[in-house]
Amino acid sequence: MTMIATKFTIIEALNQALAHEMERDPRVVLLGQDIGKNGGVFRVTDGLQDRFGENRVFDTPLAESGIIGTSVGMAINGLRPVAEIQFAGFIFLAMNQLVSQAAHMRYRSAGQYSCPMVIRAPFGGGIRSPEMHADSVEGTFLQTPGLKIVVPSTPYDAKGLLTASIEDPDPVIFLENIKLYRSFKQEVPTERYTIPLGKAAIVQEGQDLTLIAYGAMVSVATEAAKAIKAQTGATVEIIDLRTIWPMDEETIIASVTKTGRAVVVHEAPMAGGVGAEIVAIINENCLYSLLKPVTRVTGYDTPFPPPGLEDNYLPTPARLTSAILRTLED
Amino acid sequence: MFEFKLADVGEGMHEAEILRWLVEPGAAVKVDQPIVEIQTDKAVVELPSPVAGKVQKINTAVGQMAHVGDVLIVFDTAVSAVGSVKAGEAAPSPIPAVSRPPVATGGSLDPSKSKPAQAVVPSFDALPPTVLSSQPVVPNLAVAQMSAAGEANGVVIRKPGSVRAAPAVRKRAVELGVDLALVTPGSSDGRVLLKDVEEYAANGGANSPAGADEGLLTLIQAKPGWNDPAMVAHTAVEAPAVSNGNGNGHGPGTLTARPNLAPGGEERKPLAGLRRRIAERMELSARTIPQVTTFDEADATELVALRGRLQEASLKRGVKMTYLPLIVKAVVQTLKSFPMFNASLDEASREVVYKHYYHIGLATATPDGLLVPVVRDADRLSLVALAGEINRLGEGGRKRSLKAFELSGSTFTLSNVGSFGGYTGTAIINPPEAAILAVGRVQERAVVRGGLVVARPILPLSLSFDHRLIDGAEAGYFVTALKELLENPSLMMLEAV
Amino acid sequence: MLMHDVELDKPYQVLDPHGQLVRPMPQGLSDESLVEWYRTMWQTRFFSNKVVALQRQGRATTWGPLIGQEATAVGMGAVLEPQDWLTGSYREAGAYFARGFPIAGVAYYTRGLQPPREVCQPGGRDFRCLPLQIVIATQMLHAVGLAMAAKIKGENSVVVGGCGDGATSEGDFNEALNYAGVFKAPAVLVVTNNGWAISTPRARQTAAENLAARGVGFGIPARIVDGNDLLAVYEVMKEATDRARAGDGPTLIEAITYRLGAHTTADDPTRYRPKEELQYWEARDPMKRLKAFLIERGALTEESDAQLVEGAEAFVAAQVQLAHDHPAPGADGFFNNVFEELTPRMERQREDFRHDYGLSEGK
Repeated sequence: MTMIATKFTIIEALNQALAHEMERDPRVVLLGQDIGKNGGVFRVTDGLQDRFGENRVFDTPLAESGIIGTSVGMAINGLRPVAEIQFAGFIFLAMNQLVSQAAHMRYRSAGQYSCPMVIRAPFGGGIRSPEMHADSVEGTFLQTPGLKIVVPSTPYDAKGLLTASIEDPDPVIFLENIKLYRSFKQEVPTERYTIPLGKAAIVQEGQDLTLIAYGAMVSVATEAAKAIKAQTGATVEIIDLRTIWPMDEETIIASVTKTGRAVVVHEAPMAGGVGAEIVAIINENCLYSLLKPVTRVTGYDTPFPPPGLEDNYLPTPARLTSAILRTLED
Repeated sequence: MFEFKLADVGEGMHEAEILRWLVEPGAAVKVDQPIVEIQTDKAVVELPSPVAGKVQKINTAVGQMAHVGDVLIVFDTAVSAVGSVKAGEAAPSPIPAVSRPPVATGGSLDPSKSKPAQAVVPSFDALPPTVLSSQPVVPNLAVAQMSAAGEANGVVIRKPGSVRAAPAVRKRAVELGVDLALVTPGSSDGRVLLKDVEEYAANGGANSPAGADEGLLTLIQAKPGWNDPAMVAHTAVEAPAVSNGNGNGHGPGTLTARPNLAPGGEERKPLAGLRRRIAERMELSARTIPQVTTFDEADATELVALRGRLQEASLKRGVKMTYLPLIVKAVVQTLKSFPMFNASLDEASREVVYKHYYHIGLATATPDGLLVPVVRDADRLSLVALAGEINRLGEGGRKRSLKAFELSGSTFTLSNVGSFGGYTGTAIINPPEAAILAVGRVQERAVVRGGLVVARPILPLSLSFDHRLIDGAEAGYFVTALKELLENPSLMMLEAV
Repeated sequence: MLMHDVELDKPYQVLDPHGQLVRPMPQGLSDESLVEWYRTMWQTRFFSNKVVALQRQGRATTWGPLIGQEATAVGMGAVLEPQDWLTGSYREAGAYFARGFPIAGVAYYTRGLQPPREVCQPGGRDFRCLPLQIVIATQMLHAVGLAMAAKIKGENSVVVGGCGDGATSEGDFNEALNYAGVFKAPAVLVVTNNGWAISTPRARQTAAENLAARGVGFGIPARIVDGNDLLAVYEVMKEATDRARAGDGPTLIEAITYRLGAHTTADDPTRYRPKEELQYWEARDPMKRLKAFLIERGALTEESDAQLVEGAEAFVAAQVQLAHDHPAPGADGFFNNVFEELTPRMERQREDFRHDYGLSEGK
């Protein structure tokens, strides 16, 4: 099958995925704050209410627990809600509904009821957003059995992963880096396609070091790898996790076993985060391949700083390059 | 018969006080009939009987504390008080018997299909009384015990030692059969690198950091006294290629290249197996127990005579009688009068644990090192049985054939410091015990009796005790009491069991 | 003075505490269904008492007694049609039974296990009752979501969500009322006001005169009903579900009743509740009232009542026995139903678990 590919931003790719799924599956409904007429504050749902009607694309009262709590009920009663939380930093208002209810309904009911639903939430720094708008929440949800966590880094992945998330029989929290929304375009097939959850992508192959990243940090990783190549000739293998949970351990293990060196990068705080989990996986599976300690380059263990200081907090290609060099040295 | 045990009726309840019994022995009890009122720290609750039957025995009196799992009351369930019967038995009862499962009424999972029609009293004796849920599982003991018995099974647990190397380098060293300690580290911060190991293996046991003068290095390594700090500083100067240039021989980045084997110098072996275990126990004792020692001597004239008298009869029973069983008997009798010496300090809860059993550890030399076999319940063994047991344990210890339980659990330890030469000595407490008695060698010594110097067989005693639990005065009383028994062993008959 | 701050005369009442009609009997009610519901009320009471006994014997987990609230619970569940949904807290189990949900299903839960489909859905019938909710007020949003979905799909089903008086202080309760109102969801939100949230009296939950007043603020019609009067509860519930079914949106109902038992088997209410209050409410036992009424109507005799009560106890015993006889999942059953499929890591963890505990597969 040949696909017609045109260049799109992540916003456009996500909008396409939602439209495809709504067209294909009458159970899919969209809800959230300002997603109807306004098309969402970032316009991800632009035009969808006009196209699919107010019965399937609707604005909710301004209450996050209400959005996720009613989505739980709708999912149990046969719909496939795709809820938007306007900013991931506001999701804590709905922690019980997400963590103890949506993620545990299948478990609590011994498989009789489940919550096939997607919670989309923009997150991340780099756009000078007001405080509480930029928090990375994925690490928090690593300790939530029953919840899948997806973070796309490209328009192509965004579309295929969102499609797969809506199709998935279990709840998925789908985190979208605000900085990436419109930062670049990529060729994206106009047809529907899925990218399986739980599978990482190898962005570029390399021999000397494994660099694990996701979301907006993938482009930072690519830049750092280029600088390393130029400075030392060393080749860096970059893994884009794409799905944070369940994590593609196999790809990580294969790569680190090959290179013997690894660096993890994310913008969320370091303590107990995704990087910590990855280091543990490497420790348990690749210890005897390791030539140097695995290094984490992350946000610091502080709250996400006010926008005026965010550049000092976010991992940069320079910080990453320096950590890679330390790890490459014998 | 059915034993009713106290369940956790709160959330995480541990014990409860019996407030009132609602039944008495001999009374007939129905299923779910309240039988006792208890008070937990959260509430006063009535406990209903899970079975029908007759009260056979009440175990816990009013006012007493019962712990979860204690049997509170015993029922005779053979005579059913209300005619409820065991499944399969005929029912000579006015109330129709219920066969289960399924039960005649309401037994269907679909309640719409089965509406109750008649009065029945289904008995619950088929319910497992304590199992709430799924079958409980226990971990594989083989797995759980491995680390505890590691040394006994010959498992040597490696430690990284002083060599610094990445896991991949260590793995390669094992593959190539290279002892990492012999490889000269190639990194500036003193780590052995992959190439160092490979080079070492390829060169048949030598490697050199890049740029080093091999001849010079060999020369340095061969020099005696290389491990002298002054010498290290000296070599650093002599071997600039492996130095970071600060030349002081200390701190990271300096010459940490340590020529590990000087011919004719030293050899290093890991502290392994029993030796390591002994070292750990000794460290634990010395580090955690403030211990002091008191000395005395016992006139062993009577003891020697008694042993002589017992020997023949004992041998007829196949047991060789030594002084040790007699001393153990005397020790146990003394311990009964001084409970603190048979106690231990629970470090975690800061409680003194008094033991009403007397397991006597006997420090025993073996070719591999010191072992402490334990005579369990020494107070309940006859003298000849005690002698037999001591001989058996001594033999087993020397052969290293004793089981883990025969080497643990002692409440007081005895060390025969005199058996390998030397006159007497001090012993170090076997943690977590409160004291240890060292007995020396019985030797003829000159002592004064009635103003005259006479020769008497003397048994030296030294008692080391935990000063947290025991003061010097008590230790003195203990030793005096023990000495009294040892000098007049016939006194032991007074308390003999 | 009673701490329970609602006067009993004020709520909607059909039967007075002596079983005398103070209003005409609700239309369409047959004596047969009343007797049937009366039986369910007794089953609910016996079941609750049975679980307390089992808990004291170490054979059931912590349990929240249901006694005293049987009329509210049974009235809540009795009005539902097969296509409807019901979700409540642990104290609404009686409503589940009135809906047809097997007592064995809840009994299995009290063994400390998640009741499996074959226990909850005998004969393959889904009673559309969500697992009894533990986190207070959470289920009210689920009820509204279920109702929103029914409306979006154009199905003629309604949803009843039940919670207690304490739950009305939670954000989720208020968000649920708000969503229900905004989306005109076919939901009936029932607050069983039993006067106490563990040891916290109703007056500590809100300064408002009553809980039903909350409906006004959210634009939802609300009713206060005597929760110990099955006829009144039935009538108010019927009216509310009819409205929802007709597309007229949600209703908030406050049922005034009393928790005769402790909060849970780990609670001792004598620490905080006046004895007189308990006595006052014991005299208003919902069973007594209904029995007096049914006997006066000739729907029941003392003799048939005794038989019914005995039968209810036996039925409960059999259901409990059934739950206890039903096999428990394997020791590794806790790995199931996290996701539809085990993740690769969970599969490894389960293998390790089986190995560590010396289990063969699925044992």
